[in-house]
Amino acid sequence: MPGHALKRLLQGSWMGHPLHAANAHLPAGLFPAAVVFDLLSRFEIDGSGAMRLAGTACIVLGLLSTIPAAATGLADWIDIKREKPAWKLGLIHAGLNGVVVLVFVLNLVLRLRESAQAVVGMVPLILSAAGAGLALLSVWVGARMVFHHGVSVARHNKDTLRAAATNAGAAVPDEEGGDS
Amino acid sequence: MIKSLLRGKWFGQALHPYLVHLPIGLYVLSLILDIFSLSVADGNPFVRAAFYTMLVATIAALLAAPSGIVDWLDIRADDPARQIGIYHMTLNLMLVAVYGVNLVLRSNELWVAATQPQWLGMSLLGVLLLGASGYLGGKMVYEHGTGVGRHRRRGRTPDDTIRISANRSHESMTAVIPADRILDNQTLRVQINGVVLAIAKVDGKIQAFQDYCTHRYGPLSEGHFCEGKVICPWHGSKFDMSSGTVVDGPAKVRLRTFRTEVREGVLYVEVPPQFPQGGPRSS
Repeated sequence: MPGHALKRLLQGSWMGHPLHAANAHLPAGLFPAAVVFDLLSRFEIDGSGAMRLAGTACIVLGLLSTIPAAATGLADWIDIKREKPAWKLGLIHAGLNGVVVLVFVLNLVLRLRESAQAVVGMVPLILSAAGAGLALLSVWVGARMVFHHGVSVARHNKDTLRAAATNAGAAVPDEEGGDS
Repeated sequence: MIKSLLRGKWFGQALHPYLVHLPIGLYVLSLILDIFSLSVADGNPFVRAAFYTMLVATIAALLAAPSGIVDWLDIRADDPARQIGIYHMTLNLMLVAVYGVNLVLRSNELWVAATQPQWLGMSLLGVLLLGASGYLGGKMVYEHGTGVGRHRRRGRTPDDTIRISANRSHESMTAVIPADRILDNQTLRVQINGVVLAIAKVDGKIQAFQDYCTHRYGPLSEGHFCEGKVICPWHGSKFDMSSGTVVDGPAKVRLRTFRTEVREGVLYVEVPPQFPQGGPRSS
């Protein structure tokens, strides 16, 4: 079934870890970094507009990387059972991400209308700061799903762990099917 | 104090995975800016932007290191993640060194119109090292559960597994350690003839049960305790420590529990002979 194969691909079964977590480093790192370069631009650290370009590049690559991040995140989320706390956290995480994308799209439109040599304007700077704040909050929620609720932890390697547990004289469940 | 700050308990999760987003995102961006500098007429703004993103990434990478070391120190000595952590750190040191040289070379020629081939080569190498290192970091979290649920546990987790070979033809009980060496809210991970158990002392009572959770095999010796129950750090399965029954959580199978006894100041545990039959291979 091709839908299932696509889901497995997006979940990162081929590399043994969730693809979403690897992909998410890009927007999660670049949106907050945009604020750093916007501020450096306003302090006119380098007159050539390099800081402005760096900030804009953070936003462009950040936005582009949210496309695969959304797809891989969705593939992980649909396997979480609805009654689990992580299911709701996933919704909050996705909702926050949607707002972050909107803020940075608006930000990008506004800054592309400014002169390439000028310092970053106050409105784009504020939008970067607000978007970065929301992005950091969203990343916290996403990491909460992993580090508090164990989403995707010991998922792809459960057979190896089961063998180790059996070897160590532990009671183990019967071989399980495809649950998450 | 600094150690507990870096461990991120106040943050409700490990700090290190949160801090590495910035260097990972910016190192990748820096390489892309390099490529752009080669494909536009005046690439100098891109050369500069690539330099500054690399500089901020390197500062951020150095800031992320202490929290990583603190998390690593917490890993049990015989956990495979301990060794992976060393490789992860080695790759990180290598990539910071590569980027350090890269930055120095670039800083002398920031006026150029296009990224120099040797800089680009170093950046490519850097991103490859980053990918490998990030993969290993992900392996620690997603295969070995490093840092997962750690913020819930009060106090230390076991530093190592205590390995005991017992001659079971003489006695059914095996001596583990002097009973006064295990403190309240402390756990031990013990391997007796290949059988791995967690021994926990909670409210003065010492109990022994299998270390592997019956859901996804998380380490119960690193779990936390609540009213006579042990809670798995990974997915929160909750077991009664004396009977091993499942109280809550994704686990469905009860734990094996083991009888403990303190005799003449020594803690003994009974590992029934039906398990070993020549002994399972040690894990």
